[in-house]
Amino acid sequence: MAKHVPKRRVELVGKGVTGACIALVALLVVTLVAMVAQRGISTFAVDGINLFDFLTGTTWNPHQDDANGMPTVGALPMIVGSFSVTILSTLVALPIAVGSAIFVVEVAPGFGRRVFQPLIELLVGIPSVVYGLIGLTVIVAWTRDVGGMLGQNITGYGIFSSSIVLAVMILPTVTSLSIDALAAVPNEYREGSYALGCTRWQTVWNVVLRSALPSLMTAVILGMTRAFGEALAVQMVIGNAAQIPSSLFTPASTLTSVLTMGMGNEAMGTVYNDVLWSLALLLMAMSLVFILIIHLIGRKGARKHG
Amino acid sequence: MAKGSGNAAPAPASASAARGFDMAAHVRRINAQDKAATVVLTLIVGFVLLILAAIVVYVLASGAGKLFDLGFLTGKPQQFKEGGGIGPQLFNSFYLLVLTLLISVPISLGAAIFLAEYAPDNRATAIAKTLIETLSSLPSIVVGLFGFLFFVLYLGWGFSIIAGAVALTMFNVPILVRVIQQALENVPRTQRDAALAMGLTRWETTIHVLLPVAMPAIVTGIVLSAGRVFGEAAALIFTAGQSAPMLDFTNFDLSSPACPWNVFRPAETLAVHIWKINSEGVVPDLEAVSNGTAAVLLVCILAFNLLARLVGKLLERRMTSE
Amino acid sequence: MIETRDLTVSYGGVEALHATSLEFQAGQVTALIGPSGCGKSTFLRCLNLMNREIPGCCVGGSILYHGRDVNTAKENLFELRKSIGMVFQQPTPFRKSIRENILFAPKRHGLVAGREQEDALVEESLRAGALWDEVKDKLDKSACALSGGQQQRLCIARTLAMRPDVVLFDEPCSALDPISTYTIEETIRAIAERGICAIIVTHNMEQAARVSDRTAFFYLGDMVETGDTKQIFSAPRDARLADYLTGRFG
Repeated sequence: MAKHVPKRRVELVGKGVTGACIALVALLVVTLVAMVAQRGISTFAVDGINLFDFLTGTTWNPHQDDANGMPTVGALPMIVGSFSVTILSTLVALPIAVGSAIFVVEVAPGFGRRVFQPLIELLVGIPSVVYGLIGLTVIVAWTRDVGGMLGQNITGYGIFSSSIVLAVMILPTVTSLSIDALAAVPNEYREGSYALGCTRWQTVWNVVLRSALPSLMTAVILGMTRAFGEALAVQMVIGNAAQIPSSLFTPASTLTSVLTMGMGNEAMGTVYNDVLWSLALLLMAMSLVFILIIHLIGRKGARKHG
Repeated sequence: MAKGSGNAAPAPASASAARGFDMAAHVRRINAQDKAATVVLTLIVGFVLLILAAIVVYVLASGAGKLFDLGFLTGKPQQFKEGGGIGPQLFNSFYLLVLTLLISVPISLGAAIFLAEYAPDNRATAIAKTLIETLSSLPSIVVGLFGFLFFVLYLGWGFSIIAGAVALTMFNVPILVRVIQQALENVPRTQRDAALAMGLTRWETTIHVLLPVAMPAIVTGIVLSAGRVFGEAAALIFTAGQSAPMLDFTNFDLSSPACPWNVFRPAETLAVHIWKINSEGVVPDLEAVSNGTAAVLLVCILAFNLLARLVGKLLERRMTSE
Repeated sequence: MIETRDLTVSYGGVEALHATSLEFQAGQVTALIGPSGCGKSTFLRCLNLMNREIPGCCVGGSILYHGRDVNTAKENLFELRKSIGMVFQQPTPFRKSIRENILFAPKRHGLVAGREQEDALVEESLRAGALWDEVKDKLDKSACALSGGQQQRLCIARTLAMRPDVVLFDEPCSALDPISTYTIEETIRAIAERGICAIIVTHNMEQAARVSDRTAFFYLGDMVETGDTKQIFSAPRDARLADYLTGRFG
């Protein structure tokens, strides 16, 4: 009886301790966004580089001054590179992911739950550097060899190889989210369609896919977020040439690859370093945009379903 | 599919031909379509399984020579000559993982308990949830850069294990919070109500009633997340650093860079090692070393996966049978 | 013992229970009957302030417990729930041993200290819940291995272990077979005979007639009629109650 702690204090402490945990995480995220933004903005605010020139400039050569006496820091090659690999890899991964999700949910649910989903989870767990290494030793080499056979003299590095590597990387993420999306469609919908005499494919196409569309879109965008932000695997296979890519098979670079390569080499406070932080800010801003889109889809879905 | 299917084919004589619609042909067509779709879907799934098998077999096969080579697993990495090992990297990976889990599990547990049990339905909660979700979709390189800026430079920790562990914590917390919150919310409401109706606090209810029930799912989630932490590299190259000083396991001077337990020494991990030697290209037996390292990394990840499943199942069985 | 005055409950602005005043006596069993959705369970969950755990639920009016209004923000609901026990519709054993299930809350309220007191409390509670003879040899086995009826009696025993003076039963037998139901009804009678105020929500009118001394009839969020159980079932005054009893709705 004597050492008994009053319940109200227990509850207050519990609430306080757990609340502190979440406050700590929230604070860290805010700090992260604020610090990266502050460093990224200083390129324009302190160093006086024109934001518009930065976003549209096609030449990236920070060690050389341009006509205005400013370092040549056009980020367009990286922006184009990042978007190209993201979109291409999504286009490759999407049909495969949704196709296998349909198979697993509609055709063979038992196989899906016991075999396919655990294997897909395994694929999620494979580290990105391992994907990068396979890309480097297999995909790049194959691309080069096939190019050579077709009489093209290419290195194998570039957007094509990066997109293939990224497609394999985001495939498990998109697949398992698509499986969740399809599995969440109420069975009554399917039964209603079958009761009207529709075939399985008609049911899937007209009923299941349609009602799972918002969740499928969320799955795709989460996959794109991952592809856009992936650094090392891409850096290993893209060739790292800061130029506007003239084809899918010429070396290029992305925001992440330039950051990975450059950040360690430049001293803090130089213009080059500041510009790298601006690239990081751009990367972060893009991720935030993806999150915003997911939120909007979610809200629209919620409104539709009352 | 149904749209436009009605009046497509010129119908042979049949009962419904008068209306320009041949039911039999239509049924044949949609059945053929259905079969074709099933075949295509099966091929896709086969393709995915093939890719998975190819990746695993390729990595293990090309690294097989090094995988059981004790000299490689414990040896010292070399720069300009052949035969380098990955001893320090292997130790660093596990040490970093343990530190990361030590930091991230309690924080995630607290945050998840708050969200599942205490969180008032207000703006502050919504903002906190959004922030955690944001953290989960930030690229790991951005998290790493922030770690570099804040922990390495601003707080002056330098390239160190502790800076790496904190960066990995930021990477890991959102995953864990989601898993734990889900596990807590999956516990039947009646259990929570019963405990609260006995005059117990939410804290006691959560710790003594809900957590034990949710434990299998939580443990599985933690081990799975451990696999992801183990293979992460982008968040580490600018926090834990890219150098691996040789470790002396008899050294217990916590300020010495050779002391394995010193959290303020730089520590390259297996994943970072693969990336670094490939981007520097100064190791002569580059391919053999990176394939070997990748195989070791993959074996560890496979082990984490199997472990997660095993432990989850074991806990589940123990709880329901006792 | 416990009494409500003009108790109203609303969920997110919709009133589910309109000003209800009722009084419950020690040593009696009171049954709350009515068709589903009539507010009887909502009413019951007010008495130990369990409605506070539901977001968006708002309880107005006063609840007098030993003459003191407990429906206030500063009420210590942990102490209150210690003396007002509750048994739910579904048996809710914790995934612990039978012994731990009984001792779980008393330990945390500081009601027992030492192995001797604990053993005594376990035996006393299980006897009061009419479960002792069946489980005395397997107190350290998991409570989840018990049958549904035994689990429910364990929950009753667990509630009695805190020596409450009011026990609320929320359709305690609706998930059980007839024989278990009979045992639990016996237990409820025995509890009331020990001077505890027992309140039971049930949709089973025969059950209300069998176990209760007094009955209150709820309909569409109103407490329509209350009185001695005999009078309610033999000479209902309100037409709606009469219709309900003759099975015209519900």
